[in-house]
Amino acid sequence: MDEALGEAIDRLISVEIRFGSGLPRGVTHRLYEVARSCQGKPLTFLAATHLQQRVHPGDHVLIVTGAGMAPGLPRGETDGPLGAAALARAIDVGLHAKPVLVSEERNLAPYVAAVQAAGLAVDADLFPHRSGCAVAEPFPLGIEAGKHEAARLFQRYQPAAVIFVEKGGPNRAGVFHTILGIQRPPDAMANAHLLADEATASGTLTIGIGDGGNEIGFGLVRDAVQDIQPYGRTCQCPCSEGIATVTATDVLVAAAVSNWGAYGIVAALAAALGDVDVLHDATTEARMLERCVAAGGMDGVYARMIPYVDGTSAAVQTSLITILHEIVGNSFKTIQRGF
Amino acid sequence: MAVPAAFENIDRLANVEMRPQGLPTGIVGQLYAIARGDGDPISFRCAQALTERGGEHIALLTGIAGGPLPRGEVDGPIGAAALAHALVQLGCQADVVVPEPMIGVAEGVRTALRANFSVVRDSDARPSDYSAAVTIEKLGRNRRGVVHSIFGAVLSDQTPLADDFIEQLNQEGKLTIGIGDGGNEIGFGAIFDQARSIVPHGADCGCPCGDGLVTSTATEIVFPASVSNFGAYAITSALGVLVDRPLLLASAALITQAVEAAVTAGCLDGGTFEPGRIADDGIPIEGVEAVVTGFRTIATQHFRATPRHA
Repeated sequence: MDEALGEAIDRLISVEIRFGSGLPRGVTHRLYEVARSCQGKPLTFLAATHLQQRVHPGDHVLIVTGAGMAPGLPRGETDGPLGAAALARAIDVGLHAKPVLVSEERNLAPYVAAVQAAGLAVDADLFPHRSGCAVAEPFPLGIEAGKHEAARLFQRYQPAAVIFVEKGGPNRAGVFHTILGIQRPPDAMANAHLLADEATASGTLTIGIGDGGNEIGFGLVRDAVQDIQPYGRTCQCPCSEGIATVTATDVLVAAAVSNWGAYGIVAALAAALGDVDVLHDATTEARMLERCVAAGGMDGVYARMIPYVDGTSAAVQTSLITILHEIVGNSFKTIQRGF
Repeated sequence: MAVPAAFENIDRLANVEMRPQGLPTGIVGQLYAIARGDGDPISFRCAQALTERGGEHIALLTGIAGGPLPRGEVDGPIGAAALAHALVQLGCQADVVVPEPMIGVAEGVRTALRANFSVVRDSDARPSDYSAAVTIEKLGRNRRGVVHSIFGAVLSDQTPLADDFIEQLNQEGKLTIGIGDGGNEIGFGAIFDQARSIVPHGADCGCPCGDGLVTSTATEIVFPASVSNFGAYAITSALGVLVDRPLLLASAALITQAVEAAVTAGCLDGGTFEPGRIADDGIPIEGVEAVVTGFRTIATQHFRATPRHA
C-alpha cells in the first residue's frame, strides 16, 4: 500500500458534514491537520500499518467504545459502535485475530448488535474455539473498579493492540466532558483510559479515533485541541480545565465522525492486505446502523432512535463506504488505456 | 466574516482521489495545494467570483473528441451541464460549448437533467459575446502549441479554439476558471512551473516537441480536482451554499441519468474507454453517486439548525 492511498482515505474521512446544532463546526480539518503534522504520515495509513505489523493470527485486540448516558443517550450513540464493529470484523477477516468488545454495560447491546450485523457471532463459549466470533466485556464504571478490570482484561487477553473509538478520556483534572464542556462524572463512565495506561506499561499498541478532542488519543495534540475547540481550554463545569483529554495513544486518527476514522483504518488495512472484502460493504453498513438503532443506539445529535450518525443520514454512511471501496478497489486495478 | 466550513469540506471531497492504477496517482492533492496557496477554499473563490462578476453570459467549455474518443469522454460534459443548469437557475445565460462531434452528447445530457441551457458549437462561440468562462476537462496546448494526453501522447486532432477563447477573455480582464485533474487541461498554465514538476511527463512528454504535457493556457482561478466533473459539482454546491440554494447541484439520480444519456450518445468512460460503461474516469456510477450525495449533504447540512439534545 502506498501513502497516496492513505492520503485519499484521510481526505475523505475528514470531510465535515455537520449541521448547525450548537456543536462546533469547521473544527474537523483543523484537528486533522495538527494530528497529521504531529504524526507525519496519513493517519489511516499509520494505524493500518501498525495493526498489520503488530497483530498476528490468534492475537486478541481490545476494541473500546461507548459514549453518552441517560437521559440524553441512555444506551449510547450510533457513532462509535459501528466503527468498532467494522474494526472487529476486519481484525477477524483480515488479520485472523480475535476482537474483544469493551464498553459500559449500558452501551453494550447496541455495540453487540452492530458487530452481529457485521457478520460476527458474539459468544463467549465459542470465542476460544473458532473464527468469526467476538466476545463482549462490560467495563465497570468508576476509577477503582476500572483499574481492577483493566488489569484483569490485560491479564486474561494479553492484547496485541487496544483501539479506542469515540471513547471519552479525562482532562488534566481527571474529569470527562461532552464536546460542549458539560461534565461527565468519573463514576458515570467507564474509565477506559486505564486500559491505555495498562497498554503503555506493557508496550502494547494503542490507537485512538475521535472527532472532537475529548476522546482518548487526543492527548497527543492536547495543546492544539485547547486552541481549536470552543470548550478546549475552559469547560462549563467547575473543574475549568477544558474538554481536551490528556490520554494519548501511539496513533491518533482524527476524523469528521469517529466511525469514519475506523472505516478509514479498515480501508487502509484492506489495501495493505490486498483484499477489498476486509472492508464491509454498503449493504452491511446499512444493516449495522439499523440493528444498532433497534438495540437502543441513538443518533448523537438528534438523540433519537433514527438511522443517522452524528446528524448525517444512512445514505451518507453508505456513500462513504462506497467511495472507500472505490478507493481501495481501484488501487488493485491497473488499466491500460492505450494512449 | 470567516468563510463557512462548508466550502473547506466541499474542496476536500472534490480532492479525494479514487483512480485505478495506471493513471498518475497521488498528484491531485499536490496540485490543489499549490493552486490554493494560503487562500480561501477554491470552490468558495469560484462561487464568489461567479456571483460577483461572472456577468450574465457564461461559457462552459468542455469536450475532447477525437482518436479513440470520437464523441468524447464522460468527464467534462456532465460537470459543465450541471454547472450550466445551476447558473441558468440563478438567472444567467449559460452556454455549454463543445466540439461539433459532441453536440449530441451535450444535448442528451441537457435533456436528462431537465435543463435549458444552450449548447453551442465551439467554432461558433465568440469570446466577445461572453462575460466569463469556465473550462471543464478541456485540454490545453503547451508552449509549443501541442496538446497531450495524460501519458504525454500527442493528440493531433485537438483544435486550439478554447485556448484562444480563454486567452481572449483573460486579455479583456473577464473571469476565467479552469477545472482539471491532470495538468494538461486549460487552467494549469496558472501554476505552470509547479505543475510541470509534479505531474509525470509534465516537463518532458517524450514526444518530439519536448515541452511536456502541462498546458501554458492559464485561467484566473484553477481548480484541481480528482475528477474534473467533481470539481464542477463542487463549484455548483458552493454556489448553492453562497446563494442559499442548498439543492442547486442536481441529485445523484439525475447525474446518473445524465451519464447514461452521454454514454448512449457515444461518449465513453475516460478511465477505461469501454463502450456503454456507466462510469466516470474509471469510477463506477455508484462511486459518482456517493460523491454527489456527499456534496449535496454538505450543502444542506450547512443550512440546517436543530438544537442538540442536552
